[in-house]
Amino acid sequence: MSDQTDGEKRSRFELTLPMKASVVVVTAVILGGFVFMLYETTNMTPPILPGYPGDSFFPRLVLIFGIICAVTILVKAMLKARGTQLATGESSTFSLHWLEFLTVCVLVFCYGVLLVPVGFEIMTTVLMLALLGPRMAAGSNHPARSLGYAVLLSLATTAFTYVGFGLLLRIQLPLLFLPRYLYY
Amino acid sequence: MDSYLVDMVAALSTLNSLTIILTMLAGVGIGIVLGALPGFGSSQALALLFPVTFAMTVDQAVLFLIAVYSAVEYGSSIPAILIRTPGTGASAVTVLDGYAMAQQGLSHRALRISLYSGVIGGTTSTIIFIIAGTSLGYVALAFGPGELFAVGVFGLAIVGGFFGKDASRGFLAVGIGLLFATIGSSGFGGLRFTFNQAYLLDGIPLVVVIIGFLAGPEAFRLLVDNRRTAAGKAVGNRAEQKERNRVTRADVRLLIPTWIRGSLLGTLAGAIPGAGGSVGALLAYSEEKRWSKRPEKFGTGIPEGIAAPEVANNAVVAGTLVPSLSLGIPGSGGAAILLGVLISKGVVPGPIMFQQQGDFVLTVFIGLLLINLFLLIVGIVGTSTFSLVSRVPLRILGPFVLLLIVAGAYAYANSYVHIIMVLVLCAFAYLMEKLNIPVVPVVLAFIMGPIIESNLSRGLTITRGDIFEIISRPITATILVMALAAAIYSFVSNMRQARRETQNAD
Repeated sequence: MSDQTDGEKRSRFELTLPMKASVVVVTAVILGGFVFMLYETTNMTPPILPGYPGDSFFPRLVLIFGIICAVTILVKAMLKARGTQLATGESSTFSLHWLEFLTVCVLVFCYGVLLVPVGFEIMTTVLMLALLGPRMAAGSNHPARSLGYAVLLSLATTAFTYVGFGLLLRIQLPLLFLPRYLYY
Repeated sequence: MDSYLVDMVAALSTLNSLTIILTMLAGVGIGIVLGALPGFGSSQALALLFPVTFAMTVDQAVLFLIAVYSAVEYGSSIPAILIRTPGTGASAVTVLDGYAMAQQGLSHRALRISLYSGVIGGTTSTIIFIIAGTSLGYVALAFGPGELFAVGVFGLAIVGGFFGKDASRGFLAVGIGLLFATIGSSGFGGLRFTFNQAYLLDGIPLVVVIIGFLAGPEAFRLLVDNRRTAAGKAVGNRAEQKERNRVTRADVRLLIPTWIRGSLLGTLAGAIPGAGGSVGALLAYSEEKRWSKRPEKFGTGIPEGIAAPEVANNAVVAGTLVPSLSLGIPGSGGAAILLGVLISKGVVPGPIMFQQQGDFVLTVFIGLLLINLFLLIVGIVGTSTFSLVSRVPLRILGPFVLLLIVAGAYAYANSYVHIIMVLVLCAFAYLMEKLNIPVVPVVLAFIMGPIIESNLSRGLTITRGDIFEIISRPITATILVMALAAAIYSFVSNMRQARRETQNAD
């Protein structure tokens, strides 16, 4: 598959969003979060030690600082003329390939949740295969052969991670059938 | 003087042993490998290798662990430069220019600058220690809680103001990082922002934040923008590439002032208990930018941007040993483990050690000079191998970076929760970068947050809540004024640039 064809296919799943409006929306959400967290500081333990300002003192300082920064961005956006950018040299739009983004998120989420019940060996091989397979097959003249390589590479990566992290660094990987220690 | 010479001869004869040399070489090799793994900072590496020292003599054990310590600091910058995945907080600063340079097809050059700077930093700080010795330990102790608080604020003023295109977005990122740092136990018995979730009781682990915010967006870019096929843009034929990747005499001349400043700052940061590599690297980078004639080029892949944090980062190692050996105060987690090894072997650190076991102290520091030499040799040999990573097609590299991130997050506490945490942070950081909100200030603020807060709280407790008594101390006041000036300057500079662009457009 050529890059151009690939690009055409991907474009259907690509969102192009206005930069300024997106910054404003995200900043407003962060500002809301800061205000909520500031309210949360009222539930924190009062100071007991003489001189110690209390658990809520530093978070409040940080949150007030964060709120000032967020408000500055929003005020700047309101004062700027329509069509101009918030910062110099910034593009007016940005693109996000939402399908690819979501796929990666879902794969890693499933890996995290299923790692313990299913086992490290299967989950790692499946994750690597799911990520490597389509990438190696795309742009290849022999997709089947590339998929075969992807399987081999996934198995090798799982073995390498097991030896490196599990055996040498003694990290307690949730293993399904591989031995936790090798005696020699 | 005579006793100094006797100690020196004794130290040299101890080091003139094949076993000791092989032990140090092994420490360097293991340290580079561990440092290159996300989540394995010097403390983790030393803790992991602590049991290995049980069968060693005290000289062997200390030199082995110091070799690991030094090599971890260098090793962590390799993935930071090649795949934007720093192994430690200190090398997070190296990402800025190191990765940018690697992206221009100059990964070999970036690795070499990092190596030379690291070795020079380590060597210079060791020489400073041999000359200045215990007096430096006492100077460092002049930095009380108020001064450390001010140093942290100054660092963040630089980080927030000068990263990215818009200072207000940089400072917003600083706010987010500081807020993340307050999650969990307050250190004074209280809990903050845990929302009754057990996994938040200890806060968000540093390793999760580092790899989530720095390596995460890169992994997503590699996976999502998979049409790109090569890492660095290889420009020209092989001979041209070799020429472009060389570190020339002109580079060395350019970097000498950077190395001097970075070495001094790194040694000082190491000598101050609690400051450590992250503070040293950040201070060195900020100062370099302040002194530079081309501050706007920082972050685009310039040699000074790599040399400054690397030289300071490695200078911290000998600096950390100053309060550890001379006063018995560990300057970092790694130094605490080293002290543990010394005590377990019957050596009691403190001023008396310098009088009664001068030969041992000199063995450690001359050994550190040798370790830096070994690091240089191993690094030169290894650079070509490490830079092979830049030839791997990006769409293939992406899954491996993602697996490294996931494995690093899991390895921290063998918990799947950290995988989910790192995923959330990766996605958030990726979107932040899309919106030109810089992510590096988040990480640096997260690292500096506890240092700033604990020192502020300690200072307030000592002065019974009188903040003016803290900020009116001469060193503290000077640093805070510098921080304020830096923050104001960043906004003024943004406005000037905007005006200039508007005039050009007209």
